[in-house]
Amino acid sequence: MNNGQTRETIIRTRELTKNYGEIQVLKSLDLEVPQYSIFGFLGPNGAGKTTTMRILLGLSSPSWGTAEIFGKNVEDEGLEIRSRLGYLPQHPVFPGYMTAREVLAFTARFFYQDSGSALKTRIEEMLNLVGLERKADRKVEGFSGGERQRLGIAQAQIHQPELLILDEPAAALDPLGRHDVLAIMEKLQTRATIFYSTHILDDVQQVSDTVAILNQGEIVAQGSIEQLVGGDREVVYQLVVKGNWRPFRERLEAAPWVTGVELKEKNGAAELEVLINDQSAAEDNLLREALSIKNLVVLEYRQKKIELEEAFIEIINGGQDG
Amino acid sequence: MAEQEVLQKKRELHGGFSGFNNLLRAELNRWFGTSRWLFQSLLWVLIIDGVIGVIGLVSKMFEELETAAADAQQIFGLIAVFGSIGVVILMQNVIINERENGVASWILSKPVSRSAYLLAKLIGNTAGILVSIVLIPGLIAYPLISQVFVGSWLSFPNFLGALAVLALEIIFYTCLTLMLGTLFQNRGGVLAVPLALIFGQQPMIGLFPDLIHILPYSLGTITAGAVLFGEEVMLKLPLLTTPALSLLFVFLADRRFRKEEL
Repeated sequence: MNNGQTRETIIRTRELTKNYGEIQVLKSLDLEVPQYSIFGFLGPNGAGKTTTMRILLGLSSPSWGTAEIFGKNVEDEGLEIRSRLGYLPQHPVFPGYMTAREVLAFTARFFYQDSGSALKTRIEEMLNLVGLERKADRKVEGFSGGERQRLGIAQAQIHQPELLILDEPAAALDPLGRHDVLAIMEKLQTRATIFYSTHILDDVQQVSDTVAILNQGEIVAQGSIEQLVGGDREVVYQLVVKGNWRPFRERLEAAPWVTGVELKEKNGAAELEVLINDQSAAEDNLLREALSIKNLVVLEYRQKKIELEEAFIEIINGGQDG
Repeated sequence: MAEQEVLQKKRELHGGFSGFNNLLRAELNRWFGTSRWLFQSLLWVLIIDGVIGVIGLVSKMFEELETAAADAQQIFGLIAVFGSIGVVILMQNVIINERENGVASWILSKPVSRSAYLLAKLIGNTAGILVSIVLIPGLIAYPLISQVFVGSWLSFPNFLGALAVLALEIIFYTCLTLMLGTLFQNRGGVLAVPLALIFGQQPMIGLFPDLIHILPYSLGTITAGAVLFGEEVMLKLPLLTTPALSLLFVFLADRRFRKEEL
């Protein structure tokens, strides 16, 4: 997004700790969210994601450590910080007696002087953006979870904030709504930093450039999606072959660029996972070896891609230290 | 030229009161922009003026109107009790509801100070309560008390003065219930403490007579009646201690709410 230029850090926490009595919810959290990133904050339920966000918003106080947004301490300069950010709670609830339009007007008046038609225009834009224009004058107490979520997204960005903190922004939405939200997030990235929590890993892989994984109050991994799914894992190639596969397996096991071969037989075909220590040697030789063997048909050939979900489960289960 | 209008960012954040105007506007709108004030007014007219009317009719039936003036004084005590109960019922949810359902967190995620949030709740609800529990039922009670109990028109300024004395007691319970809403996590405590005070003041004063100079008990039962008939106010101290205690409750509520984990 910024063409490799050094990006400013928008959110920075240092040893951020939160205790509720004996229970330590956050354990010395060090987090850095770069400007203009779509930063996915992942973790299983109860990992401490919402607690972190509440501390950043000044709704809760840390037991230890510091949190800064825009270089300002959240405890000392909360009002100024909050004037520059937008927040979507996990379960958005608004005063039930207000209509959607009134909720947006109420929100906007915290940031803008009540300037008549300009305010009305902004409200209309936001209603259109989230597809609530036809329900604008309905009281929000009758809204569904998805409609409240859409209204929540609209109110969070009505003042065009520099930072959006979104707690599970797509959780209550249907697939179409989710798609819209992700599109909005991508669009907003040109002018805002987005820090959001989610458990929908497909969404993260689709829009995020940076992620942090929180488990039991601790950051267990932080970096780009590529770093997370790549890491220091061995490269693996997958082949599905049919016919005379035994000599092929023997040749692979003897090759110096192969560190291991796993084979599963299925419906007369053999599925091979070939672990590689020299990717260029593998690219040059692997398929060539297969095709050189008589009576062997290659049905599928690809480099195995690690999905974020796989990496996430591995990290949470302690398979990787981040 | 509407198209050329641009949104003007708020120039400054008003420190401890940032967001107050917007919040107060919303609170007043919740009362007066909806039919809430009308519904509450009708309810309290029915309760307060209904009771006054029934007492008046019963008194007439038994020809006890020679004690009319004394009855009229007691009527204010009755309004004070009913009104105070009404305040507790209306105020018990004000903080707890929004804290529980997440509206408070949402509002305080904006550039809003916690003091502004609390003060807007207090002023907005006090205005709604004074209109629907004191002013409207009071204005309807004026001809009732004048004609049924006294038999002639009472001094209207004196009547307004008596309502103002009542308002002090009502504000006391508004502030007390607001403070309890910041202290307790459940409605039980918020309801129990002021209700115990409303019904327990008289026996408490029986046990410790000096408490009459501190508690608001005498405002409705004695002082409002004295003001109504232009008599000398014997118990002046509660006219000072009641607003002082109300301010103390607001101060304590503010201190507590600033530390609240939302």
